[in-house]
Amino acid sequence: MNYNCNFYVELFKPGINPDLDCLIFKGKNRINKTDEQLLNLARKGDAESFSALVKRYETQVAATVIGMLGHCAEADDVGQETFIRFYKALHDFRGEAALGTYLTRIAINLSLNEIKRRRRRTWFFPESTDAVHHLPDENKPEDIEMIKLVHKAIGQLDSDFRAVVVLRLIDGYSTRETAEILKIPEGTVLSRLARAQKKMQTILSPFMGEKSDD
Amino acid sequence: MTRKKIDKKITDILYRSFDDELTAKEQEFLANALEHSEELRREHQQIVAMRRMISEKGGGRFEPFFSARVMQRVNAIRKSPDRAAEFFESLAYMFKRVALVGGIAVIILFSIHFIQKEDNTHLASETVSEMTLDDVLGSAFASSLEEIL
Repeated sequence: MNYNCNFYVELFKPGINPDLDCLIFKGKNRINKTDEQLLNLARKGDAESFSALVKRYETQVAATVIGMLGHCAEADDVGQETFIRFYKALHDFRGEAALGTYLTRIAINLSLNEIKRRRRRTWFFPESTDAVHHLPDENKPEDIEMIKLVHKAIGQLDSDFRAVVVLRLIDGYSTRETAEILKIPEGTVLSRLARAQKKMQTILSPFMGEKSDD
Repeated sequence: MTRKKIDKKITDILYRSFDDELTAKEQEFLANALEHSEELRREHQQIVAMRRMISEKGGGRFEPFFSARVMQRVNAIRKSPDRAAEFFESLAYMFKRVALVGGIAVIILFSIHFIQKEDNTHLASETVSEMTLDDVLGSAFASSLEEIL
């Protein structure tokens, strides 16, 4: 059966299908809710509210995990595990820190564990690479090269330095917030940042000539 | 201060200027150094470009349907009860049963004890009533006692 575009327009019009209206209303309603409201509903067992929180913070967690591990299958697993840990600790989360910061802390710790696991794996199986790149197809070829290059530069840093770079430069946390998340003094964040940038400059500087003017 | 030390100090302040608040003196020092050094200006631009590149290309996004994958795992957890809670629940259930059986056993033991005690008292009283002076004192002693009396 062929339906033209108008059929769908009619179908999705408010008042035509009460069940659909209800679903759309609930969906919109959750988007408008604050973190605290969604958290309270999720604590009472509302799975849709937890799903709304996952969608809200997915991008932020992805930036942290992919920044730490690169584009690889493990990054997706660590991202999922971050939200599973959060789900299991829903009743313990008291809201002392912002939810985003809380999730970032979990993501960073799990990523650091994954780096340790990788190191052990590389020790036993030296052929395995640090990060297998699974870049989304939507990127342009020149972007893919640049992304690989940036991840190569980050990947050569020790995990402690990597965490500082990811939190400060990719996630955009302030120096103080970075220090709080990693539980280290601000001075240590500053010195690690400076050393990490000097190290990354050796890889990235040949490709920054044309970009530095803008 | 040697030239090398001055360079190191300027570089430190340059890097720190991106992530920390500089004092008025440090700001003036850096501005002055940038104004007079082509090399330092180039380095400043390179750091700016590098930081921009890392911030734009360093992150990423998960594969499509990430939230659906998470919710699949969440639903699996919701369906299978928590093992620790299950263990403590079964422990409490077992303790209740043990306590109940123990209570019944104690009541039974007490009952047996009392029944036996009552039997013994009854038997003892019956035995005492049927006993003669001969049984208690011995026949020889009883006969000699009778003679004296």
